[in-house]
Amino acid sequence: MSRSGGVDDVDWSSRGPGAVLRQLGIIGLLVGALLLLHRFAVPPEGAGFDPTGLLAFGFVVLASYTIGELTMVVRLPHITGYLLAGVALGPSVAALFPYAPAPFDRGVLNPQVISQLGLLDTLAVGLIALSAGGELRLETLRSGLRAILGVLIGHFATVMLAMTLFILLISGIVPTIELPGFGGIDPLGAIALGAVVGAISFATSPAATLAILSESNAKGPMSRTVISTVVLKDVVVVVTFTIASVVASLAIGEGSADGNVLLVLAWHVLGSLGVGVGIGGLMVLYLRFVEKEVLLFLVGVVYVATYLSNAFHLDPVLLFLAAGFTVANFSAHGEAMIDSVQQLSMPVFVVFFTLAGARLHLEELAHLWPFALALVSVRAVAVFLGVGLGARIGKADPGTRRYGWMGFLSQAGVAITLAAKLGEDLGAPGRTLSTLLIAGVAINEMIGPVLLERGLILSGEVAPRNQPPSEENPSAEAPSPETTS
Amino acid sequence: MAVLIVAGAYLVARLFVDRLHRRFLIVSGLEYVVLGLLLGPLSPRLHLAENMTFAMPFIALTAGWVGLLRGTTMTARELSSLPLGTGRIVIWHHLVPGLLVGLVAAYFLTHITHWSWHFGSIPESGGWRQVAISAAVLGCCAAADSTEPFDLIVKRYRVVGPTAPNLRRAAHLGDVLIILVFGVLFCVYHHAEPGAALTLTPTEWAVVSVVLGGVLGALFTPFVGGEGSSNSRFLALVGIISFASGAAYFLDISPLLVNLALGVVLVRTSHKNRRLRETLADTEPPMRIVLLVIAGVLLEPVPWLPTLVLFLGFVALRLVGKFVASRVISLGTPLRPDLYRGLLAHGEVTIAMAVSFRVVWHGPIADMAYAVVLASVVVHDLIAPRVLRQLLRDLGELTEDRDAEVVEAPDPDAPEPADAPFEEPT
Repeated sequence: MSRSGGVDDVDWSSRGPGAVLRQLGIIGLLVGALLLLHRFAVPPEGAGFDPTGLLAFGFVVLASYTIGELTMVVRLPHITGYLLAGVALGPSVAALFPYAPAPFDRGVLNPQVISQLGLLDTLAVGLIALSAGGELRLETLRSGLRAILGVLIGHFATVMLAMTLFILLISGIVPTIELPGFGGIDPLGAIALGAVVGAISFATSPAATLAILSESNAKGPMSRTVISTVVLKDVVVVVTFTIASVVASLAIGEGSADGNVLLVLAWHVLGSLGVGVGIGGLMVLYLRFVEKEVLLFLVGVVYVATYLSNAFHLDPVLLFLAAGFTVANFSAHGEAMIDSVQQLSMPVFVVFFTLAGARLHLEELAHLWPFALALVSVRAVAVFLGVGLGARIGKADPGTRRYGWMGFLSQAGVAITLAAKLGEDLGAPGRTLSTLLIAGVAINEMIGPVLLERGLILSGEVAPRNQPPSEENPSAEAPSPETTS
Repeated sequence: MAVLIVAGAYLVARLFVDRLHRRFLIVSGLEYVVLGLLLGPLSPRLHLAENMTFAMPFIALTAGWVGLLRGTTMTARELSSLPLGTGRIVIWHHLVPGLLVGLVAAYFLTHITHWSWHFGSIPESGGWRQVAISAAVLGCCAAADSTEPFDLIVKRYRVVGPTAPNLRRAAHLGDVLIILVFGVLFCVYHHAEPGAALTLTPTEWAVVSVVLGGVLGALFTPFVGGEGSSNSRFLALVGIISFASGAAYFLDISPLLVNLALGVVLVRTSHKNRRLRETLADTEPPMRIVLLVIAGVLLEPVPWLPTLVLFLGFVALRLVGKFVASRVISLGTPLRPDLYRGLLAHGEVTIAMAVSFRVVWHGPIADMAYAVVLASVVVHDLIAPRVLRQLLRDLGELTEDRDAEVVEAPDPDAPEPADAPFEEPT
């Protein structure tokens, strides 16, 4: 399957200093236009609608896209540019400049605007999960099952163990390294909370992984193993988090066993997968018998299915993964669906990652940075050891054995969602850990995509940027027409 | 349950209605307006109509798309190659029905509270302005016509004469004219309050609308001027239209006019204007469907009796206006006196104008005007292709050749067809 929507889909006619200056000029002019428009804004009459979100959306798409292009100059992936643009336009940076002119005093992407753009975020999550499910091919699973399972199990075991020990260590056992606001937890409770943190730390962002694989047009065993494992991991993350959080709530006295945990879990996971397969079946029927306006149909499916998943307490990510998997593997029209999803991939990635960047709480990172850095480091070491060990046991290809770990560090939506849920469900300790985890995600979100791309280059599945294609880099040798600049 | 009904309705629309369109020669779109009704006013539990703020990017995007597409097709070649009589058709066929409907609607809406229909009072705030802009919008929508019936006819029949392509050009040019007039309306009824940062006259606001579009067009040229894929152009267009529409709404000017001006400049400054037009045209069908669905969602319940009267008056006066216009332009010229039969459809420009108006103006009068426009679009798009077909049959310019289904729709950029298109056969 060809991927598109990537790095080389740029419109700039040259990449020299002139192009960079022009890009910087464009950003400057966009900022100037935004300032002028806010200066001369006419307040809406009566119940007239507020166009701030609309203007911000247009600005974000154009500015983030340009910043994404600029990051190529320093050989970073586009996604890093989108995230940085989100951080720069978000409320955290705006808080540092309270006397800046509107809209930069509150942030172009302030919480109100982020809320207004929530509908696009929903679309992005659905399309990314559909696309990720579509990447999971039965033939790949069959041929690489041993390697995928090896990586999955090795990674899971080491991350769970390492994170549990880390949380135990900062729970007050060693007073000098106690996490602020986390005292008074007994070791058993700390271990249980450590398991919850482990479950969240096990998550990797399918969106970031897909975005990097798309823009680099990577092809090879490591790419296949990484994306397949990342998609399967989501199921494991949801199951582990649900069980661990119930156990933890009992251990720290924040909940009670009602006997329905397994039922809830079964419904949440199996129900999501079942409904996802059903929706995938309906999509197959549509693609077979109607086959028109596939793009629009997909957008409709995403919103209807998201509505259903909210109404019936299902997991939308699992649901769309299952739907994408069904269409891609049990229909001759799977390619048509994936191609349509990819047609939307550029705006989706730009908006999704820019909003993700805007949601990063830098102030929390500033507050907890030593612990967040330690969390990220421990996780990285655990991933390195676990993936390396699992890949060897699973007899994975040399690239995955050596560099596969670099594909599992990025974190985004799922981790943030589960961390927020941890904060809501597990009282004061949960809130403290939630803040720590979100700060950790902020770091992982920045370094993960860069490391994945680096890993793909080292494994020979992607040509280094600005290097002519070689025989060792077949993917670079024959890029898809969509990714040719 | 409502969601499933809507999903089912969409599938039915896609599966069956498309066949009905071809069978009965109906411009596609009614089913999507109905779908919007199902999603909006008929499914209050979904609260979609109240939460349209979240759909604003989509609304502005689809309406802006219409403006930009019209702007990018307005080339010097297009204007210089217009056949004889087209300008007269465009002017009279828009001026007469527009003025007739607008003036009568203004009288009707002004006096509606004096009549015993228990309609209630016009809101205190901006009452006369709401009446005036509603009547003006009704006039604009009455004047508008559409190229869609021509495309539908050409898909199904072999059209041999010049009337269809030339009337199509007139309709296309009329779209641009109406967008300009609609943009001026936003300037005339601009609601900048005294003491605002920018207090301008309507003329100045009109200049701002055009200049803003032009400046943004020049600014955004690098985004669409290169060799990038259609995906990157799509991304750029999404951003450009959203920014331009957001800017227009920010200044309370017409997003359609700003995007039109933007399109005119963009297509001239971009080296790859053909690709730009292709991307716009490729993505037009889904945008059009979204626009129609949103149009249905935005419909508010209205008092049925005065709305019905207004609707019947609108349809009748529009028809009279078009009829009179055809008669007038045929005086002393070889043009046929019944060309109005080819210009009855409304099309997506009307929908885009109505939606742009609806998201800014609220109140019972605006709701009524909006409902009337929507109903008129449905009715006229049902009958217009058949009336056009009959006109072409009467002219002997239609061949009953079903094999001609593969014939492409006339390309607005195509060379000029045969001249003397509108002459009455002798």
